[in-house]
Amino acid sequence: MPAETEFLQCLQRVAAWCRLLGIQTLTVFDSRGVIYGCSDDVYRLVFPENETSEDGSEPEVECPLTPPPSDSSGSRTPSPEHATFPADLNALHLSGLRKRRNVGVRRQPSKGVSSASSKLTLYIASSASGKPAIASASRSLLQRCVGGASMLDGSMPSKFPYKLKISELGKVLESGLPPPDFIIIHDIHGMKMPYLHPPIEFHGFPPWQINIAEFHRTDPDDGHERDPTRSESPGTPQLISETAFRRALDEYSRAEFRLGR
Amino acid sequence: MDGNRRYARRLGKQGKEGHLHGLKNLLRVLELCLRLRIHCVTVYAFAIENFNRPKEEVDTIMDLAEERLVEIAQRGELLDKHGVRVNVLGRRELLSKSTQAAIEKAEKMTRHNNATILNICAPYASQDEITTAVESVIREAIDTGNLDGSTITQDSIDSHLSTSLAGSPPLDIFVRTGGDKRLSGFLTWQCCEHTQIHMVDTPWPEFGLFDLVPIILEYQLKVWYEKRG
Repeated sequence: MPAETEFLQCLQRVAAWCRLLGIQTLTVFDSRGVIYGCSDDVYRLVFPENETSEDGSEPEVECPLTPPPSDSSGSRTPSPEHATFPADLNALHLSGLRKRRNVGVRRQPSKGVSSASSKLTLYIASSASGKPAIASASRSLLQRCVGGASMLDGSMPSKFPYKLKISELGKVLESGLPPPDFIIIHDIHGMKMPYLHPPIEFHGFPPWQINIAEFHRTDPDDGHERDPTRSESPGTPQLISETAFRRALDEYSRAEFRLGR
Repeated sequence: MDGNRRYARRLGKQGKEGHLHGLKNLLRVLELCLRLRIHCVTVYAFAIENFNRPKEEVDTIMDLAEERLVEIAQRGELLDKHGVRVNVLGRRELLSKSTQAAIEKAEKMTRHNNATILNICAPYASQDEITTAVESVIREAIDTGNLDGSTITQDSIDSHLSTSLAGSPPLDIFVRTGGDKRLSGFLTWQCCEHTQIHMVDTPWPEFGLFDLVPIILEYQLKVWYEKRG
């Protein structure tokens, strides 16, 4: 699948740059779910085999949360702090730990190797991580409310007017997919329309998480590279260039965050 | 409608004076939209987070908002002529009693209009709106006895958003003026799929026809391409 190949190549590049720069969390938005089922391939590309932990422990891979078996116990006291939310948040979480290298004789890190431990956590989201995840979280909150109200004194849930705080919903949604600070939008397949800068569309990016994120779209003039195995023609996939990545971060560094003030 | 304060500072004035220019431009741009037969316009007048601003500035904005809403209510004939229905969306209970009264009057006077909808979001925040919608669907499920969650879907949440309750259609175009490239908690649910997002450098008090026309043309091009298949 061509789309998957280019996507994985871009992901590998960006992950490597993030690790060089000390960026610890990277979220990839795969709107169509092209690589969502390829977690093994993703892991091999993003966390190469020679970076696995020295103690031989398995790298961390967290799969999407799935509904647990129904709990018939009536003894559990509902608590926002301790309740687990069986919401299907449709986001994949991968992490791997780069251990500190023995660099006693080196004063400068060699190219591509950091002299410090750097842990990159990767989240893979799709459009299913957006509105469908909010709906799933809502159903879970209903179950929690129903379970809690009926346990307390035997009365029906409707006797208690339901109230939901932003922080409560946020805790559910952000536990599976934290909000990014900065979003880089790169059109792998180039611009479909015969002009260079059409408006941005988010294609189902999670609406909760995009709330205050800064975003930047790469420029077609940023020297993106094409897959050398493919012939060059309009619509040939373009891999994100390091120039584009750096330009994006430069723009982010200049952004002014007023937070309402 | 971002960029009021920076516009004022550029003119050597106090930041809060920019809000008066911004409000005047809102009426100009609204008239442009009416002439272009745009059915629904939603503007971000005040964010819940804006209460973090200096008290003097917040009071200025609230006073301006109250004056203009009273003016809108008094110009019922003008809005009737264009069939504009005014809705104020958000946590109005955070506003002063007199501002709330002005809002209710403006909404009541224009409620019967259907040709054009003007949504004024103040004070508003997307996460607050989404949370309120989720709370509503859960409460409805409880009240109707649908405790299996089958009535809680994307569509049911969407229908409980303040924009949907105000009769607004899906969002086609999102424009942020002033140069910042973020949504800042405005209509994130509504714009996260197929809405065309435009971030323009022009500060809001200067935004006009020459900024709006290319945006409309972009949208028309998209529609044409989609029809072409």
